[in-house]
Amino acid sequence: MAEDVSQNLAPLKPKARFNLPIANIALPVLSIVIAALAGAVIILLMGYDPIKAYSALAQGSFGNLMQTSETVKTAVPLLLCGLGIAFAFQSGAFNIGAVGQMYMGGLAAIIVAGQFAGLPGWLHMLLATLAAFVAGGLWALLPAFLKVRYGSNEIISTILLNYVAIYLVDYMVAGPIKSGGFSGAPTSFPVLAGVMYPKLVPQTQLHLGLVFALAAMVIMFFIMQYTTLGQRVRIVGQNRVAAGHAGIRADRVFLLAFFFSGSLAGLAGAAEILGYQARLISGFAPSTGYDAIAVALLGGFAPFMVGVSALFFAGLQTGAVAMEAIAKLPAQLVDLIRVLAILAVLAASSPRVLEIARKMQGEDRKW
Amino acid sequence: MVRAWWSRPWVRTTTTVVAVLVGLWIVLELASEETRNIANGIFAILGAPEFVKAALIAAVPLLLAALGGLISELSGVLNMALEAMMLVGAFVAYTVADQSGSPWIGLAAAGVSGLVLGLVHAVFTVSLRANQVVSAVALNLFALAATALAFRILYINKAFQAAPGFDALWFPMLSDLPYLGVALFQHNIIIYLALLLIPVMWFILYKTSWGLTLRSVGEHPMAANTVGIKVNRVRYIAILLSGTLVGISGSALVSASGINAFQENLSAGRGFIAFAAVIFGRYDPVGAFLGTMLFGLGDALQIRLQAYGVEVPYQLLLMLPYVITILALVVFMRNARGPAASGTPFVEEGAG
Repeated sequence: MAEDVSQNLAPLKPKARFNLPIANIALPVLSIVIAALAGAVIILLMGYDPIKAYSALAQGSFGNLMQTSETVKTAVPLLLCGLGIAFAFQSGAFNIGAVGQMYMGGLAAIIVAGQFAGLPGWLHMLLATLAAFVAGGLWALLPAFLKVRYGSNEIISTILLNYVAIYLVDYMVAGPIKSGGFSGAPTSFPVLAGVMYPKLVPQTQLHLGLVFALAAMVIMFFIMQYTTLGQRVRIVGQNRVAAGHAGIRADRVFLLAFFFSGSLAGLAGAAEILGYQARLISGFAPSTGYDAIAVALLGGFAPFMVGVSALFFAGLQTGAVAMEAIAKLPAQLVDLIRVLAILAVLAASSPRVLEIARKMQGEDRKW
Repeated sequence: MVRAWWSRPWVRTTTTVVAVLVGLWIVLELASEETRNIANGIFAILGAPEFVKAALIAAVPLLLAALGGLISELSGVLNMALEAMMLVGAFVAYTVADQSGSPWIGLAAAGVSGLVLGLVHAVFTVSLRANQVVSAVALNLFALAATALAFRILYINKAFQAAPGFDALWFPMLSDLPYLGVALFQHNIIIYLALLLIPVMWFILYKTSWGLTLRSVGEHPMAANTVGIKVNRVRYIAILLSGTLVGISGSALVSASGINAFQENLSAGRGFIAFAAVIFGRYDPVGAFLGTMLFGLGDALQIRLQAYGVEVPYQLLLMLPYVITILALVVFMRNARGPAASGTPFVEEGAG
């Protein structure tokens, strides 16, 4: 038997959580409040003013329409990657390779979108998006195949493939798809005119990628809730052996889930390149794929909640820029606060804390 | 179950090696004069004692991390936070050695920093029973941000400086041996201590009662609990020990750079490679050593090929260690079996 850690990982989301639906929201909120307090202590210790810092964070993330649109734009790749991770998780596997899959998506998008002038704009755009979708999916299919065929631990192979993808992008932008003109950092040639995603609202950062992300969210909800595919994915995730006995081809479902998981991350890469950055830069999204793990976790692996949590993490990210500008805080400090939020969410969703919460709720009832 | 003869590991390994050699020979026979010259150059690189020396230096930080990971793994807790502990350990080792002037104090501080991270991981995974992978991912992100922040604050206005490091040892007679002297007997003390740790670890894990306790906790916590072993306490000790060792591996990483310096994201995924080495080393100290040597050889080859000026872009060469590790996972992991309870938190009856 091949080693298989993912099958017996602790359940992240116990089935019956609480009788009161309010508690499902109360715990994540509470955990974020605790993280914010812990963050305030760190900010104080570093000699800055936490109130000033947090008000800058709030202003920078949702302070006005411009900033809000910036936050929503930042949420798009987080949401797509987060949905992908959630989908793979439902099939019982951890996909930590969203970084690499997103890079491959971005690479495929620029290769198609930066060449082949003469195609009609909308078709060109569609083809570039499709290329990113397929590239991300195939990059995720590789570790899934290694797992199914050779029993290689997918957690470790997806991480290792992240590094391979990062170096591949570095190589491509320094060589084969290098931009013609002079540039400071290694950069690819630009996306051709007319192939960029159109803006949804003029003067804002909102682009077509947002529509893709929201569509993916709704489609995933629909698939998981109402189709046999969703049902099969969930059964495989809960018990692979039982799924086999029930006549489900577990390996096939697993491969499919991983493909779609990766293709959503690939789509995130396309959204970054075609929606905003307009060219491929080495290291263009260094931590989005990792942050998306926290996004998926905070959202409890449920599509709509993943959407909310993507917005939250995006707010932290855009707010960080304002915090740096207004309150003069180093940007890495915000990274620390983000990690605190992840740990707090993890603690709040841990079986031990849920047990305690449930017990307290039970006692409240009797009372 | 009777295994088919071709699935036996040694048959598989030998066949692979022979196939690769035959393939190389055929390619060289068909190759042009120019390629043959390059190939001869590469063989000269591989034959030099400096190659083995560099491979050993590159492998040792990973070896320490892998041995640390192994302890935690055998107790049933995945320690994917190796990367975080290594990076923080490297930063602390560099800073403390720089401030105190002693690499030994730096090494001790690195161990303590790893222990603290281990404690956090243990609280989350053992006490709270949170998901072990997510806890590690969060710790890794934390390490990246915290070391970058602290490094900028401490060293932003200073010129680059090397911290005091460990000097290379010199053994009478041995260090003067032809080939072996350079390859094996001119290293610093960390290398020898790490290598010594392999048999020590093997003895502790397989020949002492504590080792048996540790492995039983990872294999069948319920049974261990029944015979009176405090499962969660053993796991705590294992993770703390693991953290300390991996923190020290950060110190080894700083000294392996040769110039005793730190830079942002110095570990660059080596913690994950060490984690993989535990798995394809089949959860065994000697296997972990062989696994990390595979990385060391790949890394040394990659650096030398860059220096040799092979017509391959350096970014592709940088990929080499990661690709080798993935291949190793595929080739060597087929019949590897980890601790049965790996990844599952333990709930004591009646508690909680």
